[in-house]
Amino acid sequence: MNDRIEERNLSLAFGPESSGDSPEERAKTSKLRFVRGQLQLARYSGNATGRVLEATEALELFGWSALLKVGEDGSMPLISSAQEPAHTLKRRREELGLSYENLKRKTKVPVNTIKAAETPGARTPIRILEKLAQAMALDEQVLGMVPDAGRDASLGVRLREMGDSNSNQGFTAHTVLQFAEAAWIVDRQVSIQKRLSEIAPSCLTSLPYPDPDYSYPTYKQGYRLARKTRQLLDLDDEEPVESVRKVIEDQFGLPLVQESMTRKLAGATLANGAIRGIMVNEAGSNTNVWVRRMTLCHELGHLLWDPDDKLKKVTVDTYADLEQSDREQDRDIAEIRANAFAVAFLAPALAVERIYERCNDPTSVVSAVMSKFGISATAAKHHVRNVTGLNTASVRNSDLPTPEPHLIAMENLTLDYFPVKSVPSSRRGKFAWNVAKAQQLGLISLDSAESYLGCDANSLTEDALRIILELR
Amino acid sequence: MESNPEATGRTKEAFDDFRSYLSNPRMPTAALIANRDQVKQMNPSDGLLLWRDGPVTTKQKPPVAPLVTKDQADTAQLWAVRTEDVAYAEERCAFGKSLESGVIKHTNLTGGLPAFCGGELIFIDESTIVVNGNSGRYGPRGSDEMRLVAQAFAKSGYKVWSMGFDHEADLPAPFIGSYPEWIPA
Repeated sequence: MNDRIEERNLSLAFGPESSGDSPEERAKTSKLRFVRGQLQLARYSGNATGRVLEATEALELFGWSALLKVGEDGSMPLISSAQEPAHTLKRRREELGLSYENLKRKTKVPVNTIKAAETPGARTPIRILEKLAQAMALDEQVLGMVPDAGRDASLGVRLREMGDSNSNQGFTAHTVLQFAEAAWIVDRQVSIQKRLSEIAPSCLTSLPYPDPDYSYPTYKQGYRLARKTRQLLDLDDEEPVESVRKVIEDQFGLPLVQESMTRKLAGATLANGAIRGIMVNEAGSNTNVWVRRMTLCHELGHLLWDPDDKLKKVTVDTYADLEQSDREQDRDIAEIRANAFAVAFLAPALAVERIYERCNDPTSVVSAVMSKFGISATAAKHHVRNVTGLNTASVRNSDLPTPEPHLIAMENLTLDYFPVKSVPSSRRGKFAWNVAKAQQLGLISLDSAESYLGCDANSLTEDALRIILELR
Repeated sequence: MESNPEATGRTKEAFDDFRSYLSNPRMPTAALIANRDQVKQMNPSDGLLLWRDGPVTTKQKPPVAPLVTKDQADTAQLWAVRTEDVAYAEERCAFGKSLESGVIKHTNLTGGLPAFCGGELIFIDESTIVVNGNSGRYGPRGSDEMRLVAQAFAKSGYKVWSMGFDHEADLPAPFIGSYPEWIPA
């Protein structure tokens, strides 16, 4: 009797043409779609203007009992309290120290609409609410249902501190919002990867345990960890790292957000809840791919090896920090170690010594190290001097090589050749690949994919999705 | 002038207008009937009430809109515009608790027979109600139908707030999360 009722319920929730004995199996074979508005979840009909969801997606987000209620009663109210989602949005904006104008500039949502969204009882289209939530590192999927919507309060405090004009960083509200959005991307990417990993592994190499050893001389710890990382990746001392981006995203499955930011900032590590990722500036010195590879490796060094107590919610590195030699002692030991890690990961000391043995002229040695391992002039000069004792101060940058086009393509491929121009650069790369893959596998709807990628409606054509999947 | 709590003249006229707009009542979808209890006809002794004329006889200015709380929503009554009258009852009444589902469904107001419309209502006070069209079985199928049935309640002698229609879901809006709209009689 119970089995028969269950069968009826499964058909009611997912349609009689679906098959399987569990909600998960039924959802995968269901032709039904659902729609989520600000107020409720319902079966999708052609006239509904809310966010359209695939059955598997709706099941993942709202659970079996909610979908059964939709089947039985036609809808499922979502709002947990009359004050939501207004209260959560307003609190988050104030926590981040943002004005309505700041938020308007980032999201293109008019001030009056933002004010309405922060007013209990006002109706605001779900697509606007999602946009505001994503911009402030809230989980838009539970906005209105769960007070605070997955807000990481300490991330909010840290970002507000960074935006304080009296702080060391004194970032603008725009930069604070860039970090906040990056935190959302990092979190969403990991949640999509988790779903994709049920089908195929999302990383090829397991993350190592953090290493708390910063003992003097700290640079040696960075070199040791670089060797360890190369061993994890089966790279010998002579083998160049073809693409640091691929090491981060494909080998270790770490979220990487690339964004055009204030020019002094090189990169950062950030955490949203327990999820961590890397952010790298596309602007400034990172436009040189060799510099960008160093920045990426520096942040990778932090993320792979620094224990939690060293990694704050957001740790920012400027170009000035990264250009220093790993032998400079008057610095934070975590930065010394990450600098040493970066240069030794890209250009192992043993391989640099071998180059030195072959050519004694400083310019030739620095040039060879740069060309072979793809590191910047500043980094190569420091590194050659530190490893070999050769005086590289007189080496002129004008005598040094520039990056090969293939290397630029390897690191920039997913950004420069991205097929949908309305997708911001922060949401391109592996994040976009994950979104496209999830859509291809029916784990998310096309509508959700467009929301995640922040692009214009109907811009994700089949061709565009195919190209995104090929850009790896 | 005192109103007669048993009067049904204005109610009949208002809802007959609504019925003639729709022409025909409709049967609930058979697939939604989970068990026989769900079509068990409630009687007055089970807590079934019939809608009667309210105390409001003059045109009202809209008061401050109420924002329905979860506690208020938990006291909701189900209503159904039947072929001859309008029935309503508490969703969580004692009769409902005795049913397999633990609560009444709209089909308990109709015995599973055709009806014109259905939804939920909350009494704010004896002359003011908030209505919505949340019924999987008889709910309004568009914003016009929702507005007209709310107007029928207003014409029957009540101050009426309607939750209106939610275009995002293409369904009537639920009680929680948005301000209702004032419905002039």
